[in-house]
Amino acid sequence: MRRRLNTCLPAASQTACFIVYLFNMEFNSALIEKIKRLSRLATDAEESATLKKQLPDILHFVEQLQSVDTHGVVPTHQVTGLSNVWREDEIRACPTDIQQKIIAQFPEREGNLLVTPAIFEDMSDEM
Amino acid sequence: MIKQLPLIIEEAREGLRAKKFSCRELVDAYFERIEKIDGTLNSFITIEKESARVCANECDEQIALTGYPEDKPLFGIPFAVKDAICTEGIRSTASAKILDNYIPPFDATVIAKLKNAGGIILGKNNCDAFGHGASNENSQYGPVPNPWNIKMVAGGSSGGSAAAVSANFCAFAIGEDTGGSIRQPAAFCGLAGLRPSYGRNSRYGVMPMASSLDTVGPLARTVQDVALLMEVMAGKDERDGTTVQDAVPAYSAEIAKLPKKLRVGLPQEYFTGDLEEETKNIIEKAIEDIKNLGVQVSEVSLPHTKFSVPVYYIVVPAEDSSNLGRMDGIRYGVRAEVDNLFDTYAESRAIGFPTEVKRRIMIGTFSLSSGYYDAYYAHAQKVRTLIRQDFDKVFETVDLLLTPTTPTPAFPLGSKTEDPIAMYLADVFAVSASLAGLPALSVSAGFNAAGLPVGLQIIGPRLHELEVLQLGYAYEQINKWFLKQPSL
Repeated sequence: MRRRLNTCLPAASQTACFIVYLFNMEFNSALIEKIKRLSRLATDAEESATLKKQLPDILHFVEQLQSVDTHGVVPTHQVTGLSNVWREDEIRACPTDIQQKIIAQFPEREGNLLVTPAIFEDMSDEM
Repeated sequence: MIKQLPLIIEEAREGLRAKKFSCRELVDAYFERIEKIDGTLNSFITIEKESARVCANECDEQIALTGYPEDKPLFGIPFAVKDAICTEGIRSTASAKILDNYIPPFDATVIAKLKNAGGIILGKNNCDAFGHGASNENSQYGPVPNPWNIKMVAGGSSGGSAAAVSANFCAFAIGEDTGGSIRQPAAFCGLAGLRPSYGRNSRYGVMPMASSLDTVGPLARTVQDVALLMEVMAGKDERDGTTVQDAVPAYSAEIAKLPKKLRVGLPQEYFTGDLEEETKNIIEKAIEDIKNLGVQVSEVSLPHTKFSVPVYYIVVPAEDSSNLGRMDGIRYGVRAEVDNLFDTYAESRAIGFPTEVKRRIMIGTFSLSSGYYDAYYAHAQKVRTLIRQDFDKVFETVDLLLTPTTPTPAFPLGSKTEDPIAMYLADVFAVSASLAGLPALSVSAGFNAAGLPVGLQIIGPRLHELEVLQLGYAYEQINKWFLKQPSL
């Protein structure tokens, strides 16, 4: 059950509490399966067992960040200081030979068309 | 016939210029050495004999017609490229089976620049898959032993590139450094390797790992060569919006002009319990040598250093998991033969990624998923700011920082593969500069009693590669460790 955070705490402490809650949370098979599904990853039984052991260890390792007070600190999303780097939106023709090289990389094709598995297949019953 | 392969780029240039050997002879001599020894080192995934020989013949024809072209700083110089960097018409796997058959239709910008300067690609180097690792053991094409002791790792992730230069399979190699992937293998293999400032070199065509940290840079035997290569590689690229406009200094012309009254800081957090005693002694000797150059050395503090690895292992997997979404078996690469879309993604990725890649994607997906983003990614990005501010503050009082590149020399193959956290900590001295986007050089500081190389790291303020290289060069002139070769 999710623990309710004390709203009287300063923001930094709230974050710290929340992290403590997360790390105490059971990193169980259901959660692993959910992450695998979100990640579009399949793993065999041996790999699943390894990951089930290692993922909580890694999360416990990064847990030490909870001790850092980041109240009022602006996150670093980039280090260059550049913003809004623009260029004209010009159409540049892709040379035919490059087009053919790209098409040659398709795992499956019909002529110049990329063949993919059916995208709406799973929804057919609902439509 | 070439009796002894050149050690530095200028030596190769001089040989070609003076017609001591032809470019074709040089290329063939490297291939002969690769064939003889790389069965042990496994530093190449792909060798490009045919195209390299065609290029070499063209170079020889041009030299015969008009002499050695002095305006092409790498004319006829053979090099190797980390397999996570796209090379036109040459298979580029990133050491992951999902790209086993991938042939890029384009060159990364830095590769195009090196080719325009006359460089000849010999092949593609093994690495940890998608740059994930510190030992080259996360490659689906096998590990890379260290040329100085084949029971040890070459380092990672650019381990194949470092081993190839160290073993003299090529004149230089191009690697990629997100959290130490050039510097750490350079240190383990006794080379010079530079992580440039983020934004100095174009990342276009470099397979992305963590977009806010990735850089591409050179590994070579000497700092002088690194300077020359940076001159060719650096600069604004309209295809990478994060590259900066700032002028690129004439690194190689300026490299011998060590600034007077240079102030260097020793961050005390890098000289604590993590640092192995013998490595510490070697680094302290290097610091004495640098003091004797007239450089003023003082202790400084970067108090948030201990949080660098945990920040790194939240930020990087998050960005990794997003970037690797494109590896889905749909438009290129290897596609699993299954009958629905979800399984096509999941099974293609299952066979095409080694376990470390899966581990990072899962950690990253978790930390970015609904309800966890603020506590993980956003919080880590704030601590990252504190790490950056430490550097900003320290660079108010000193010009450069000196540290060991790694806490230990190369470790035994297999010794950390079962323990991801131990592997992550192999980069403990490398990741802070990465998080702050700073330039950092590893230069060989000599060898331990067992004969393994030790690296000295020089960190500078953003875009101050020149001073970093100048100090590295000045130090390199004292001991010339690069003259020592592994016996293979």
